[in-house]
Amino acid sequence: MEPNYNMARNMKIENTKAQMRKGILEYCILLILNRRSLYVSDIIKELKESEMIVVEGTLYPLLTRLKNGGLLKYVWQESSQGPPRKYYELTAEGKKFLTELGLSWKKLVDAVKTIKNNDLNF
Amino acid sequence: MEKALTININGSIFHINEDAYIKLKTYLEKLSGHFGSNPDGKEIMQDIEARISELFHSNIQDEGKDIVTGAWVEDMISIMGKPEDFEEGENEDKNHESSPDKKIKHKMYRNPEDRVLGGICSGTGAYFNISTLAVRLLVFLLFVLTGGFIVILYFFFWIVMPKAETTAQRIEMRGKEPTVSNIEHSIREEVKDIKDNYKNFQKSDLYKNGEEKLSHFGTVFSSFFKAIIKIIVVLAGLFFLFIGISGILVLLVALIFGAQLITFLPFWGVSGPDLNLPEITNFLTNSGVAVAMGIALFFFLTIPLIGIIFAGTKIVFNYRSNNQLIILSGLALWVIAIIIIISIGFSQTGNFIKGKTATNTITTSANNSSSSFSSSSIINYGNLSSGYNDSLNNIKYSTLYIHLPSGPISKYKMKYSNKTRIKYNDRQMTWIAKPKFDIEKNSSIKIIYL
Repeated sequence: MEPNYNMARNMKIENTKAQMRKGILEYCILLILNRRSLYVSDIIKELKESEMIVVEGTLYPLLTRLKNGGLLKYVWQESSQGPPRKYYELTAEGKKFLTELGLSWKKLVDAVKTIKNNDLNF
Repeated sequence: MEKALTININGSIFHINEDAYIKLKTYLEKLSGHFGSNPDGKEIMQDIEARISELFHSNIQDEGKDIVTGAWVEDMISIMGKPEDFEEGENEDKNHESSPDKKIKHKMYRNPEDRVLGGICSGTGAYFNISTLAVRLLVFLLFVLTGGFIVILYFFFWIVMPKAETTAQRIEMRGKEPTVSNIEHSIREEVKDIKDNYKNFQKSDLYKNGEEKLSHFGTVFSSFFKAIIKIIVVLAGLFFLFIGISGILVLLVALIFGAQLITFLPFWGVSGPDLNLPEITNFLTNSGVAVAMGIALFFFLTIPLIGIIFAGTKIVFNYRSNNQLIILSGLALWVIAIIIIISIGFSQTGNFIKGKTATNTITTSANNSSSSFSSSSIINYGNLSSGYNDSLNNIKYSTLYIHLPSGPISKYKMKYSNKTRIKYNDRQMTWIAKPKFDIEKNSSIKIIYL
């Protein structure tokens, strides 16, 4: 019984973590693309370095969804090696969205901070 | 030497080893299975293929080889991740437990991720939520017990069971909950119903009008009854499965090896029918007819057993399938088998004569030095009618009656091995055999061959 219980708990933790990351992942992608337009593998590189994603496959559905949601767009650029590549960049709407996300992120961080500090005061 | 293929990924041409090609193809199929339900699936797949092509290009540059190897494909998969690894990225609902009324199908699949041959053992283990090792040990045991016959069943399942390729299929393979606990769960729910009903019954004012009391008592009684019935049904289903599977095994063993192995199997060894298809077909004079009879007998006996297994599976695992075509064709095949058996039976009776018994008695005694008796004996079958003819070549068994002077006649079934020679000329057949029995020292036995 014990291992099953642990497995269920681990799954729950993993699930919660994934949920947390999922929300932030969109924000991170928008942040990265806010600087300049980038090719997917560049985005992947940065996300991997900051341990936001484990496997690249995670990113593709997300990018497509953001693009279809009007937050991103891409332009084809010729590449020295192989076929042309998709370079993603923020749309005007995406930039607005990012600003809003930035505000709500700040609020979230503050909220967590306040709650943690409250705990210390007890 | 390896076979190589040429493929086109996102407009780039690659040479690829055959094993790498199979890996890549399986991986891409998995992905498209995963993104198939997504409206943007096609675009996502294109992007992923573009990335794969790029990874291979950089491999080519780094290693100076221009053929895609299995190791490259594996590296690529570990970079891109398998569908189960990136579930988190897109569909929130999938990570949550689906709503209780949305039942996940529970089907048998071969598990390609944990396999020795076809992944049947691990797939079966996943289905019944038991360890793969246990299934493999069981199969090995059956392999030993059935003298390797399980191999045929194994290949049968290899053909019949589909491979779990997509994530959805792997979920279906495991089912939502372990099956046994599902059963337990549903029984528990029934019991809880009874308790609740009973509590309500107790709470209700006993002095209230009789009608209400009666109806309460009715619900208590009916849910109690339901639980009992459910337990009985599940037990019956398990029993069906047990009987059906052991029956099939016995039948197969009997069909190939004769009846001796029956004693290995529960129930059947004690009082079961003395199945021995080779012996049955020995009564037939024509080898073509014997084959037809064998096949007809096989279907005649197997179809009901498969039906029993099917019924058992349906009951125990609550598995719904009403493929009437299969049921009807099975039934038709069964009826045809019966007709064939009966008609062959009738047509063969003319070949036999009535009430003729051939007996030859040999009396022998064991010598002092040895406790076993061995004798080269000539067994005379007496005069035989012309009806027997060449079919006598097929006789491999005979019943031997051993009469001990101080005891009852004991019956032995004796198999005439290839050491046995059968001679017959004109209308007389002679078996030359070397039967061997253990008998007590200084005692004598009388052997009557019938």
